[in-house]
Amino acid sequence: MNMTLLVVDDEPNIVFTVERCLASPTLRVITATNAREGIEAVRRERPDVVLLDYRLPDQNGLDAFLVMRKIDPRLPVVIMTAYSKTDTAIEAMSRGVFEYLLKPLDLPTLQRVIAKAQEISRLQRVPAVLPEEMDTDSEAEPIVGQSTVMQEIYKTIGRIAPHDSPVLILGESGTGKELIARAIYHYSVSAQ
Amino acid sequence: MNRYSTFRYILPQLGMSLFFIALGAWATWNVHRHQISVSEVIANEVEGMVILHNLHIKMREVRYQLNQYLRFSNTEHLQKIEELEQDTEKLIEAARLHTTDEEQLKKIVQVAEGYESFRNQLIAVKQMGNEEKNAVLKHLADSHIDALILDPAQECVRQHEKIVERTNNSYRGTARRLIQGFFWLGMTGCVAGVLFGWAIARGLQRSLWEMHLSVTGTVDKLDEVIGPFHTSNATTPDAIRSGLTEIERRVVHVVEQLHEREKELLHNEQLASMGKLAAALAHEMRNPLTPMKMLVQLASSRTTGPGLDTRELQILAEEIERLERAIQTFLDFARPPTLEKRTGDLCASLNDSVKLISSRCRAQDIQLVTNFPTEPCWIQFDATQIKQLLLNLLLNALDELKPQGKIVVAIHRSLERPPQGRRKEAEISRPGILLVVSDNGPGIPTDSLEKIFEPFATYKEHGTGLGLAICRRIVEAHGGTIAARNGALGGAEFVVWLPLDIQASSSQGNVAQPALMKEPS
Repeated sequence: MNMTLLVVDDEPNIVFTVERCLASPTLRVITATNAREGIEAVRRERPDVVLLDYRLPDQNGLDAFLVMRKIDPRLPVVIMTAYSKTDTAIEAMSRGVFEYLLKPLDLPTLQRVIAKAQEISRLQRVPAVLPEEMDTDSEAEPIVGQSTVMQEIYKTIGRIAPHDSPVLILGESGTGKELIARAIYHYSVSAQ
Repeated sequence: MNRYSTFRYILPQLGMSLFFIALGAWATWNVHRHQISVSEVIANEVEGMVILHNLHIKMREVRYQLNQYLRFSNTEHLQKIEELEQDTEKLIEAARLHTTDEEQLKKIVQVAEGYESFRNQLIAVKQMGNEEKNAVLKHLADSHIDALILDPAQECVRQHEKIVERTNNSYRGTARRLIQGFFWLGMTGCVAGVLFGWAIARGLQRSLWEMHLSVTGTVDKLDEVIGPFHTSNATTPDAIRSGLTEIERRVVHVVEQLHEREKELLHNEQLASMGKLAAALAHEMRNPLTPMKMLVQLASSRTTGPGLDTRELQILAEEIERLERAIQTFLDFARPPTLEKRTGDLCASLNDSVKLISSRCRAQDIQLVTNFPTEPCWIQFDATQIKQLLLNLLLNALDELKPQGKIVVAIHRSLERPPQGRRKEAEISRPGILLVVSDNGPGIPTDSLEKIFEPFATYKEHGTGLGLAICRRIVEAHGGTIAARNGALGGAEFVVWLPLDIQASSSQGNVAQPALMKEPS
């Protein structure tokens, strides 16, 4: 599955380098040089991951991130900065930034973080759906099972999805706890 | 207590003392004069009395001789009377000279007349017969001398005595009055001295009290700074002195503390600005390091083909150059180059900067307009630094401008400093040169107009925040001012005022003619 990475930095050389390092047949890299363009790209292109510079000419990266999250609540955003200030790091993480990286970026670290973000993005975007919804979303991964026990589980998912509370899912290894979790997540997002 | 205040306390006392000294001297002199006049009067009277006494003796001698003649009829006695005549006349004349009033003079005149008639009768008897002669002489001896000569003389003596007594009495009265006067003078002097002393003491006490109040006030203030501190409540000089000594000690302590704190503060400030510098440096190095590091890591992970392609190498070169520039900027800021002022053409140097930047202007599609005077502007300046100044201002403008923007660089002669600027000195009307760089970019937020010249106050992603700080330092090193405002073109406008060097132009022989229009000698 092809994914899109949006890189926002006002230094063309950094944008170019990130593109050169991370672009692959499975990862398309799009770029923006300021916050306004970046937000526009999020709205238009629906990228899967955003790599955002903290200090942008027109706006603070963190504020830009908040705007982006309003557009796409499930979008993982990695903030990078040349300033090593602990309070901005803490603030960024507490506001729900996916990762906070210090420049100069280390290529293996960046690759690892972006890969993880891609995975998270995929898990959040590709919903686990109940069998009857299979036709509507071809990208969705279906939960298979028509037995009464499974029916009971579907009903439970339906009951707890709208509630804003933590859920503990228990089960043997390999029974599909992750799928159930994604299903709860998917329906909770849909419910809102 | 300084000399002035001492004098202020002493002055009334001194004035009063001088007054009393003068009064005493005047009185003494008067007494002395009075005494002299009195003794002169008394001497005169006494001399008059002595003369009259002698006259009395002479007249008794005359009577004696007259009686002897009557007894023995010896003409020798009459002869002796004639011999006494001259002395007697002399005495009468002397007595007349010593008269001091009408009464005395009258008596002396009577004496003189009596003596005259006595002599005339004495001469007249020579032609008379013996009987008649003896009768006349007997009358002369028995009554004439007494009644017409001695009695008036005696009265004159009495007059003299009266005058002496009167003078004495008046002298005694004067002496009594003098004693009284001196007594009162002494008393008044004493009382005045006591009063003045009291007044001075009161004044001093009040000063001491005021001093005590300020001492207590100071103590209270010191208490707040370095804890409680006890002084006695007394206002005696000793107590205040000891209090002052204590205060002095405390103040020295406080000043030392302040000094320490100031040093500490300065040190903290240095640390803070070093922190700012370090942060700015970190930012300005980490950004270029990012592509460098990643490209190198990418190249080393490539197993086949060339490590880096042309574009990647170009990026590496650009970023390395940027690092070098950043380091140079920081060095310039941390260790400003010394000013090397030379007389030169300002316009020519500024044109160099404009030329340097013009290719970038074309690339960004920005119109760069220069409005320089046709004549050269001879001033004293450091060409390298002034070029750097304009370059910084132009690069700032270029960073902000969008394609088809416009920058205007203008030079005017000016007699006044721009109203803004950090240093506001009294030399308003010094001749100078105004360099105005304006653009039609977004301009500067009004609340940032003052701040933008502070180090590290950057609003851009690129940049150390030092460009304008360096600009200001260059301008101030030249004795000028720099100010920012939002100008007529709608964007930012930087106004630089540089002084025309008066010495330079006067050394060329003419101050009145503006140096702007002149060739250097």
